[in-house]
Amino acid sequence: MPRSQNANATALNPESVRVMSRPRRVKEPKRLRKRVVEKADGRYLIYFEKG
Amino acid sequence: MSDLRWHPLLEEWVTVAPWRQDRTYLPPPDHCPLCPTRPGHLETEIPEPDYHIAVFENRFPSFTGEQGRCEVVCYTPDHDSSLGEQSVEHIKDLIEVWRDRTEELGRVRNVRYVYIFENRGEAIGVTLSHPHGQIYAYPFVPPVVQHELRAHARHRRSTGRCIYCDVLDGEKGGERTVLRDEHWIAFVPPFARWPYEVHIAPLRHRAGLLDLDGEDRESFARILKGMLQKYDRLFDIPLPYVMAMHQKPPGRSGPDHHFHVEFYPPNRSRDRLKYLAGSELGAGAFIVDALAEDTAAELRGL
Repeated sequence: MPRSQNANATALNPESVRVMSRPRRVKEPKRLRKRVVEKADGRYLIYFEKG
Repeated sequence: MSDLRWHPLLEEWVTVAPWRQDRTYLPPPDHCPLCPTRPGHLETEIPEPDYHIAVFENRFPSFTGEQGRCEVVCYTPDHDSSLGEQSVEHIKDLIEVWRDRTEELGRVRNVRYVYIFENRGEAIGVTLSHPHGQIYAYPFVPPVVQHELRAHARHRRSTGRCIYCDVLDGEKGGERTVLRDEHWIAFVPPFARWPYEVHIAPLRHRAGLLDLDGEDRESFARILKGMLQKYDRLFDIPLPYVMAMHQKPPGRSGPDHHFHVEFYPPNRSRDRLKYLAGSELGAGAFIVDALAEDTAAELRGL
């Protein structure tokens, strides 16, 4: 017999309630420089290069 | 443009793209289209003689124009390398690339989901062996993610909590843990459908790549590299796998999710593969002949 149809059956614990605030998205300095070029057939190609 | 056909019984889209039948198939290494172009040789997809990380529109896309995008992400110019062989710093650069593409493709009109994945190994059906991943920007939310989002929403309504956070709570005992640090975990889920399936995930609730802070990204890079190295030590072969990133759909007001990466290696031993057959394909019911606790212990010990 299946133990449970609950995928999280091993984990449901009312005491484990937590605050799940979504982290604020902070603009951080980029590690990479982005260079976009167009290929002969019109598709794009992006080089990600060390800054 | 692809033909999108609705499957009325499964209630999902089937994408018909017949031109993909002619895509490049296992070219010899000196004709690899993902290598940098060598002076005096035919131009590859990347005309310059070297690159760090490069992304381009797939020449044989499933989605293009108004339907979405298909991109190829070349991890490294080194043809004989792999994702797991890259340095942690290089993987952090790759995470920045994945974040950039998530943000940009998520803003493309008609795109409903940005899916980052890698197919590795001929056993998976890879047609180019150069280390690379792909990104599909779909004009719909694909069925597996749709399923997860519905489960997440239902669980949130009934408990107030994130379903994946609760799955992670169930891993506190550590018997299915493969790798762990303060911020991330790699584990074989109790509901794994493949013998060596592994999920890696942030322990703190993060909906997608764009929500990862600096600590998350550092830890993600280390855990990802560590996991891939363990996979290649498992049978002393470059282990084939599908790597699938599940995150929330684009847009700040869209449904929530918990970012995680799923790995499905097809091997059940060094030279035996698990095939999707009658039960899995015809009935959608996976039968797995390994205990998550055992395979986790095996991977943990490598």
